[in-house]
Amino acid sequence: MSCRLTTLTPFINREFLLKALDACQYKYRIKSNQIILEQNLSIAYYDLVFEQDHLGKFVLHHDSHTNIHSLLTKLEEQYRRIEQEYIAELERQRIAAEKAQIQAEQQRVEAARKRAILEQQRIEAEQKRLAEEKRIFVEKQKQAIQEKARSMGYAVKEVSQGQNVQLVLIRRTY
Amino acid sequence: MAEEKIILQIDSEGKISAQTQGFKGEICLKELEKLLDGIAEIQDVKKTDDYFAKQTTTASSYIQRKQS
Repeated sequence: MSCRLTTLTPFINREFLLKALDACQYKYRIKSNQIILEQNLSIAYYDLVFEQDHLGKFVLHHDSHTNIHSLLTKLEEQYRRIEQEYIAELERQRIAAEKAQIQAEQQRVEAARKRAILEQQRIEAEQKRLAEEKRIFVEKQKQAIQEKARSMGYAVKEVSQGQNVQLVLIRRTY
Repeated sequence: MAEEKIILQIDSEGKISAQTQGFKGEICLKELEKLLDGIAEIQDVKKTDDYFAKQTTTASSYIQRKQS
């Protein structure tokens, strides 16, 4: 001989239980740690009361004459649905937070990348400015030498040698 | 007819090297000093043997502008 049974889903979350009662449209009132159902069950001698047991789950106290099977089955269904929806919502929020974190990290990286690019551009601009400053100086210096040389009676010939410039000054004397 | 020649090298930094050919004696140095006066500051002068052959042979000098 064998048997098989199932137990009721333990109602361990007070908030879910209250929402499940609302979903089932079971009226109740809260008195201290008790959730008292105001369900009109004709054969009930005593109130139906949910109270937490020593394990922490809410247990429905009732007299033995009351058939609460359909009530609990309906309540369990709603309790599980509400719990699942809440878990799903938590997961949705977790994913959203994770995405926000990734996005923030990407934005941080992107901001750092932009700062690095700006710094690189600043350095390159400074390098160009220095090079241009030298180029202008060298050009002025070259022109000054050429003018002075001509005033001293030299013929001036300019030869470009890579980055260097060669000036050949020639004067014929008799 | 003689030919006096000055060859100047200006590098990308503006440093100048100059060499003379065909000048007689110390005139070459005077000529370079005149040429570069107000333009570059002479840092070093190396006189070749020809420099000392007064009025008779070619002298050459090597002048560099002091790098700023």
